[in-house]
Amino acid sequence: MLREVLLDLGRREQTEPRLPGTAAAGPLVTGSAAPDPIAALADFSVAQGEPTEVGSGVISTSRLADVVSFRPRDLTIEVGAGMRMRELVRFVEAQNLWLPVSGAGLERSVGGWIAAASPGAWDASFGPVRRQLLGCRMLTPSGESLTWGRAVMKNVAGFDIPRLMAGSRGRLGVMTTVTLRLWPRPESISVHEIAGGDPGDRLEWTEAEAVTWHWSSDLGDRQAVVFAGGAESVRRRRAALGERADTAARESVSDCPSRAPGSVVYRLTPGRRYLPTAFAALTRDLNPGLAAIEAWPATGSMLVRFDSGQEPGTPEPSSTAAVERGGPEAHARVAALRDPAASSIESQIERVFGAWPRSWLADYL
Amino acid sequence: MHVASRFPEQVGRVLQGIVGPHGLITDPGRILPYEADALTTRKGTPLAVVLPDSRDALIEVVRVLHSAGLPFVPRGAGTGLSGGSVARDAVVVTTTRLNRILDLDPEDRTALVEPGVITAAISAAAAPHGLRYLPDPASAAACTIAGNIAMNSGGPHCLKHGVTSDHVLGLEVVLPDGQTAWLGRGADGGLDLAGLFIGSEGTIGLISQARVALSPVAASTRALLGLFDGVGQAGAAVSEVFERGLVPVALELIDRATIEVVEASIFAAGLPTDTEAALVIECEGDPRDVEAELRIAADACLAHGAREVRIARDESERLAIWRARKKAYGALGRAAPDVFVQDAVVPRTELSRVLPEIQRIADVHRLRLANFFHAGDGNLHPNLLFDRRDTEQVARVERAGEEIMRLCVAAGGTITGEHGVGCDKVRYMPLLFGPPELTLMDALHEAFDPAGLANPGKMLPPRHGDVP
Repeated sequence: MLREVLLDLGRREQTEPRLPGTAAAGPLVTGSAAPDPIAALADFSVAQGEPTEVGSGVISTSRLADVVSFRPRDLTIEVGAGMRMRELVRFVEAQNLWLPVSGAGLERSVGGWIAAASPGAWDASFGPVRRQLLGCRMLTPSGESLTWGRAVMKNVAGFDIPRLMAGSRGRLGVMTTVTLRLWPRPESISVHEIAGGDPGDRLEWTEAEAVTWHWSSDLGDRQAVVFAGGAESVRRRRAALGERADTAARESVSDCPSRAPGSVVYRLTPGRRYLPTAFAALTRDLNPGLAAIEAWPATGSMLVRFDSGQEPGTPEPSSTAAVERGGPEAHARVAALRDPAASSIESQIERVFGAWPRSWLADYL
Repeated sequence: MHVASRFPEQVGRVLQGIVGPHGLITDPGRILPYEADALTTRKGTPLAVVLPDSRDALIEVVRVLHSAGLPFVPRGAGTGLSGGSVARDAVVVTTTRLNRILDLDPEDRTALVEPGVITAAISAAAAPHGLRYLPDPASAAACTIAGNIAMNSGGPHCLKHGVTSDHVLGLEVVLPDGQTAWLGRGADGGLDLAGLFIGSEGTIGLISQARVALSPVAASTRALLGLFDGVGQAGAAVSEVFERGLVPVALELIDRATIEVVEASIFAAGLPTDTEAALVIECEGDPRDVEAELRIAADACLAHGAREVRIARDESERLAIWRARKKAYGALGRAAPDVFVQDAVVPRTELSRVLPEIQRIADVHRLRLANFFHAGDGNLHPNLLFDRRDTEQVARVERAGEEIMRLCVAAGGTITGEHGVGCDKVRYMPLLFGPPELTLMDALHEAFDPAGLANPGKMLPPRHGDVP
């Protein structure tokens, strides 16, 4: 059946793959020169959320968008990987349930959200994306249909393949359905913004469920503080924040959207200790093209966006860096920072799942 | 000696050169304690036991074993419950001497630890900074962190905070050929390689260092005890707690058989022995929030016919509530020579249906059954009491165990939630995975361990054509 999907959504003739709407990117794959073209391309499609036409075909999940199985009392749901996150969030919230997703995650498909596994505002309180994934069904590059995990809260039988799929960016195959952990919907969610102030004034508000430091070239410094939980508890903690905070609805707004045209977005993970230093250095050095930063002090991770085709400087040396969105140069820059031993293990794992035909691409839209 | 003759003396001399005379055990009398882990029904005699006392020695030991073509079994404190460290014709590599906390960074909230560090020691070291390592397997005071990572261990408080995999930031691993690599969680744009390694049960290598996450100690922690006249009612109350929007940090169920055993032991906690089921529900956070959450939990219990709800008023009352749960396993040990604990998981709402079915299976096989488990996760621990000297009784335990597994898998569950597959549950793997999934996992294993030396016979069923 999955093969039918592949054939059904199949072949689009195009010899030179391009990243649509990205003048700076140019041709994405230049023959065999690209070390890992399909992986890089899958990364693009996941991060970008736009139709990407590559080589001779695209495997799109956009028609796999149904709820497969929903167990509200068990707090689990299985949905097609192509369902839009906004639609899924609307569906579960109507049942008084909840998914910890924020910012750019809301722009993606469910499969794209899992495959990108980007950091987000709720990570410290509810766990990162990978914790929300209980299982998946997938199609490997060699065409094998596989099912991993169960709709239960704990499962340690066999290799933890769902953890491997979270953040795999299409490299190991295409997920067709995903089974997710749901949470009771917090009785109250209250979002506040503290604008301006100098960088030293930023707090890590330990009383909040989510804190995001924002910086953008047009708005400067802001800090978003989110309280979630019992209404009484939220009211009490909100009061403690004082008068500096405006009530805002920034929760779902991202400064580093996955589909900002022409931008390069890095994910840096300097850790809790070094995050303030990295944040301050980036904004102080006024790197040309630096457009926005979203940073999560509780988990020590951040997204950094550069615009207008400007090539950013080398990512903060103390950081672990990844490309959320960007061209071959950005990928090459980050690849140079990686541990070769880990890269070699990844190549072995990719071989086990089967290499993508060069012309095919998993597209979670 | 048969055993000594199978362990090449030449290899023994080389290993002794690495770990010293006290770091290698070949004497059959001294090997005896390494025959089994905490699952007493699975045993094997190791060829030898090696106890490296440094990271370099650990790596060197693996290299020597690899070039000698000798299979090896990683072992921590031997508290595992699935026979994961049973060694048959293999060398045990024990990490207990690698027990240093190498770095503890309160600001970064991480700790870099050696594999043999006792799990509870990490929290103890972090406590002065108001921090703790969250996963709390029942054996935390004895088990090692690498054992937890190999099994992806859980514990009562993993309900809200997540299991071991949710608290490991990176691993240095020694692959079966002795090569080392640092594996992260994908923050470098790569795959979550540490996530694959966690729960791989020593089948793709050993852990030489781990960086784990530390979390703040809660401002306040309180618990309540709900007493029920029926297991089904207690099961329904478990679901109700979540439906009322609450995710407690722990939600445990103790059944009547367990209460009777505990109350008859020196661990007596003052629970009425005519109670069919008791729930322990714990909440933590700001004291005012905890107060509100306990009220919700109490209401959920009362809505499903709890005959009594006791909310602990202070820390000593809280510890008393936990005593029955925490001492249950020890008390069972006094009630029967052997205990066989299962570890299946079912969707939470299946609890009230599955629990009576498990009782029926135990009755059919004329076995005493006691349940105490992580009800909030749907993670069952049905304990079958038996005497391993009675082979006929052991056979009944095995049959009942398999029927319980089939029941739980059919209910949408899994065969193990936190104890691991080990050698004990290998035979149940085909209940969960079809041939394509098993084949892929075999291929994955082979990519890491082509010679098949790392913890052979564990987690994955024997491949077609392999000698079991």
